[in-house]
Amino acid sequence: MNTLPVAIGLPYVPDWGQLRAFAPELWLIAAIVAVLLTPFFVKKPNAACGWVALVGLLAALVSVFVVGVDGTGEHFRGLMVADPVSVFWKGLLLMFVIGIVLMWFSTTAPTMHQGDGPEFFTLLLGATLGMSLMASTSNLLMLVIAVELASLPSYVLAGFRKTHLAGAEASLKYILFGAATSSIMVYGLSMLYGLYGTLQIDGPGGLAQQIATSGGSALLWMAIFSLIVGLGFKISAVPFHFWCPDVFEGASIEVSAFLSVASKGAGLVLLMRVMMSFASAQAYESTPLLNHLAVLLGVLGAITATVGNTAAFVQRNIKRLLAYSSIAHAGYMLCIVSLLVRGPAVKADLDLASTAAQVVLFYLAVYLFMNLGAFTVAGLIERETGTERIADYAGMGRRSPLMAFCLSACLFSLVGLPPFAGFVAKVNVFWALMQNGSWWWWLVGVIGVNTVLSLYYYVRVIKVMYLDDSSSAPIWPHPLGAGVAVVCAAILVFMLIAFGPINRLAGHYSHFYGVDQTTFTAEFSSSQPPP
Amino acid sequence: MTELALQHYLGVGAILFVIGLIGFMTRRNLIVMFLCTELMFQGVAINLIAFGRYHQNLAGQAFTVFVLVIAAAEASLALGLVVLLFRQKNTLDADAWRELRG
Repeated sequence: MNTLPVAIGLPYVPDWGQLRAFAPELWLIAAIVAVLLTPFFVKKPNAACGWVALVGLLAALVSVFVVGVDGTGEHFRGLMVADPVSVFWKGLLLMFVIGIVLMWFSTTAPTMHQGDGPEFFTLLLGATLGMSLMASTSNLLMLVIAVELASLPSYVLAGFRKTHLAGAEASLKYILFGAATSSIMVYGLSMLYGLYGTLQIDGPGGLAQQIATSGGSALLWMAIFSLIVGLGFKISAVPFHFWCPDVFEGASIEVSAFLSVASKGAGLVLLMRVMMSFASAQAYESTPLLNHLAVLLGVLGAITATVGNTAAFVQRNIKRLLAYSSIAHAGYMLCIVSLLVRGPAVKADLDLASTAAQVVLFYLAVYLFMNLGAFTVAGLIERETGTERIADYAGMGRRSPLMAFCLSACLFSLVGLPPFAGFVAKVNVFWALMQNGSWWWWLVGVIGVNTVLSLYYYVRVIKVMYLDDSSSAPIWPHPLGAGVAVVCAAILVFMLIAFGPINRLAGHYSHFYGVDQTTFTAEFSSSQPPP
Repeated sequence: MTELALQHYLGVGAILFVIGLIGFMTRRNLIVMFLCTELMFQGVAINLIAFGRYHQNLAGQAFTVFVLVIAAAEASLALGLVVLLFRQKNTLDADAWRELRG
């Protein structure tokens, strides 16, 4: 117990250089405080809180660009890192949440009970803070705190419409599942700590390196399984996906949209970081541990995509349809994450791990705009007509041509059809899987079949909008929301045209701190301690 | 086996965790279900403290403090939600809430 006096004697005071790398998070915290104080100055605080949150998010986004990637690596004694991947994710996340706030103005704002705004935005920004921290953790304690900081506000957001029965049920299912999976995850992490005596993931003496030197054991597998349970819940990987459609249906639409991208993306980035640490510490050699992990993640991804797509077939509600579609997309991305822990590619000169990270980041960027656009249109239609049923979208091509066009663009992009960026994202996925060869060809086949399956239910919505006729009155959507939807559709086209530079940008940011990605075996094996 | 060793603490932690997990899956009363997740978290806490003592560092105890805070936060949220749900349907049965499906 000789560490106790040391811990008490030297209080840790981070200097400005340490804090600077986390300026986006600090801006978010400032925005939370500002939102909480707003009702003292404004009579009707809902809209004012929305604007305050928007300003805070913009400031955080600007600070992401200003601070950029920080070369010094770990921060706060190794609790957090600010590496290229986390910076890229923070940029995406903040852009997305700005879109969500704009969406809130045009969908839920008029019906929200006056005075609920401060709470709503505190929770929204708090969850955003947790999700951006999830991308920067390199310590098990920080991992748990970040995951819970993202989860707890999400539970409340899901049931935010207090008088709404479906909202209460959604919140109940979410919190029941969340509490169980997070306790399983923490139990597994306690086993990791017990096995290796440290909470650090990266670095010398960290978990990843100790696992590399000591090899696998039953307890280690238990710990890894429970970590996948906890993160699988956030990603909504099958079989931890049951909350997803219910929560999306019960929650108000901007919350559903928020969870569909932010929660999944944060979980994926965190999973990528942990897997990358494991893989790089073992020098990307095909050790049994890494091979099994790769197979596990690949199979999980294939099952997730298949279950999501087949369950989407029978959906009558647009929010449930988008929920199952988001499960399917999480499955595609999980397949790519399995490449991270895979050894060198078939082509020896290809840096497969970085390529996989790049593909996931690009996919997330595209997925963000497709989902934001689709949910925004669904929210606008729900606001004007009060319906979420797909059958009620009949004649939308005539009743609101702009909305129908934007929704069609987003849905085509979700399938992965050429005029939109979803096509490039899908092609990237296929290409990366093919580079690896061996049984990853099976994954290529599974994703190919899934894409064809998904065509049916996405196009069914478009068919209802354009071919089914109805005598209902035309719809004039809220201009702000319509603007968000149009911008999303335009960005999807733009990202297809400019996919080269954007792909290069994702590639530029596809590096993790403390992880040797570019050299596979030579340097790493020499740096390991002799047995 | 006269002295308490690491495995005894781990045993208690595992038993608490498993009781919580089984209770969570079999019981349908909302309050009991959330109580069971609390049990699971307490099993984790015992594990962490035992390992912290075993490895002679403070990381385990520090982790425990945070685990307790997280468990408390989750419990307060859950109990608030239970009150809300009870007011609407006058029952604590989890099976009463099954409108969302498909």
